[in-house]
Amino acid sequence: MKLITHNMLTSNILKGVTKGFPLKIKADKVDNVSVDYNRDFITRIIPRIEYDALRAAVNDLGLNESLPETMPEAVQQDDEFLKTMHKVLLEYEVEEGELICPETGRKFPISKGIPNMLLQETEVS
Amino acid sequence: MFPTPDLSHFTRNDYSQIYEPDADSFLLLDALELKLNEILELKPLIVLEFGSGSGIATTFVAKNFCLTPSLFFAIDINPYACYSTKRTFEQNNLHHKHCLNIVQCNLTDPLIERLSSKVDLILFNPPYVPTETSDVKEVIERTYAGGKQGIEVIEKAIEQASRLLSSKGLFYMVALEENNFDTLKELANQVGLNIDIILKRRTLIERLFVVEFQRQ
Repeated sequence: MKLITHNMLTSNILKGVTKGFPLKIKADKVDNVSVDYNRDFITRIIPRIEYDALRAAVNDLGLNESLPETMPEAVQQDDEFLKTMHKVLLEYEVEEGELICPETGRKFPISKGIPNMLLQETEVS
Repeated sequence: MFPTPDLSHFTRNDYSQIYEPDADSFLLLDALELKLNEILELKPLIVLEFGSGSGIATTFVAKNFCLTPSLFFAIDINPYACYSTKRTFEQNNLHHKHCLNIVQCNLTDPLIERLSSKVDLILFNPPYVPTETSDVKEVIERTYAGGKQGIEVIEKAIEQASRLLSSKGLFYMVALEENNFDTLKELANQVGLNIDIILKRRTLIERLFVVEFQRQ
């Protein structure tokens, strides 16, 4: 599971959950993958990212990446920021671990890099 | 005609757990190819496939319709299918260029909030066979069991697609004659989507067609 995937996942399908975002990550195994850097792609993707949730994910994983507290104003001109965003969003893969609903504590397992967000019928709102 | 994605990494054993691409799968690829120019013009940034199975359709799009890197979401309730989609994407050497996100879930339940109005291209080869219910136990049954009129899963997917599609977004789906185009049209119109048939094909036992949905 890449951090960009995590940035798009919510648990608000669960009964009693209002927002369900962001999910907390407990990572047992994280791999590094290499993805071709494409400036245009990252620039187009960034507006769709919930930045605070990304920073929380980086923190959950204990990654040694420096993301500023707020996104820079002129993102397009900030090559260093774009490259860091590329690395953080695309190049870390959580292979084994859990996603945790911030409101109910319900755990969703991640195995072989794939998060399992399936619910029992009794859990669905 | 674009080549079919390389599926040589799969064995008989894999196909006991995931849907083996068949006439319906290839019909979807052919339909997409018919719409090549429209899709290229769309320059899809975010692509989503419901029930990706072997990953053949997502891989086909990534390979031939996305000249610049795109963000792919492939979902499936079957974890073996999720993993198989990942393998197919990698077998076809797309994982360094494009970003594939795979989630095991029921339709797009955990993604719909964040991807609302953001998806440029949606693909679905659904379980379309009329059966007593679509709520079946066996994973292999889930690949075809469509419930009443074969549209129980289709109906939910159309509703979700209406929330996911970007303003110019396109949704391509395979269907069976028995699903009834007029029913599909009603379901689409109810959620503010237009629908057109873009390709038809007959096989020994099925009359298949592919439809294109877009926002009204």
